[in-house]
Amino acid sequence: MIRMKRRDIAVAAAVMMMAVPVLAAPPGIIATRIAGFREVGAAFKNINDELKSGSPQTYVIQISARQIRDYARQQQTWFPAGSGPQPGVKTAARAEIWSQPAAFRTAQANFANQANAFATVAASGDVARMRAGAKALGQSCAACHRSFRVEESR
Amino acid sequence: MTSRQRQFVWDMPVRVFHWSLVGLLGFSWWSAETRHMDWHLLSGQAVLFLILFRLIWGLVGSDPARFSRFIRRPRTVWAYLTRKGGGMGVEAIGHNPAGGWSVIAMLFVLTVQVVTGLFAVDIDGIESGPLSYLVDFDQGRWASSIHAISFNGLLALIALHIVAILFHLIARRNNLVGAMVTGSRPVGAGEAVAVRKGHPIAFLIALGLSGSAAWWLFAQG
Repeated sequence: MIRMKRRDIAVAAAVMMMAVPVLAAPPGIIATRIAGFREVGAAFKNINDELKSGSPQTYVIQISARQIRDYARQQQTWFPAGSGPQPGVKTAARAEIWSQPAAFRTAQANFANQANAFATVAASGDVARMRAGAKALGQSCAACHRSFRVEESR
Repeated sequence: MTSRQRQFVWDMPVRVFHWSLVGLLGFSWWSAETRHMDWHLLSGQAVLFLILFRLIWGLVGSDPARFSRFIRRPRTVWAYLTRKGGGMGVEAIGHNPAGGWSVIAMLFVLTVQVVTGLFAVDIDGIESGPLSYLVDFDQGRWASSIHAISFNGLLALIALHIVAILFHLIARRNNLVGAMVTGSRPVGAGEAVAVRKGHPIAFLIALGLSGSAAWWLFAQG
């Protein structure tokens, strides 16, 4: 019995040692997503700058739309368990991301879909449709941020 | 009452400037907090117009509105604050030596506020000032952070402004708000002095310059 117990403890310890890296977020994932969303913001600024101007450069919009589409795919892997808010960690991610995973996944998928759709519209070269598409894309950003991001005052 | 006279202090442009600014700052604050950015930009354009007008009016307006009349040497400000300057009279028409610098500080922070707003970009790259296309995303974000910090500075200066007015009202029994509403304040018979007023043509030039500059800057976006 004692021998069995020791073996159980050894197995449990081994499992725990293997499990710890699985439970903790991959190192650098928070930095990755901060940098990634920064790129999305910068690309979206380029799109909106062009759409606001009298003569939009469609190639700028197309490149930026493809960038956003690619990041919108990647962001679905940017919020692993354990990468949420905790003392000493600087992140605007709210705990609701992990307490309401279904709603968050829906919001993420909505962003990816809108980004796909916008890249297609951008490729078409139709500026009027790009304006409508950019608005819809912006709304998918805002919808997710309202529920899942700590809002800054600026 | 018949022995009472009114002393001219603030001309109509200064009063309209002042109270429009009060309304617009409240509206700007509210529209930013509630993310009504279209209205926030319009409000910013109106504030830009007012600031430009006031800067020009500070050169060509009526005497109490002129920078040359209310920007005083630090020694004068110190003497005023330590009550060595004493006395009322012509000196007391318009800003006092400390109040003049308070106005300069508020105009400076308002200018920072409007200029950073022109270049500001929000964190999602969706909302932006009319000149933000001239800067990249990070520079626009930097302008946004200055916009947020200087707004707190502006609130602090406004608080100081209100405290000073209350101090004059309660401790000095001097109602400064009345003159900013009516343009004049009561003085004893024979105490009123003539004050040079701004020329209507100077007013039209100031209005035209500030109006067209505010329109043109926002038409760029």
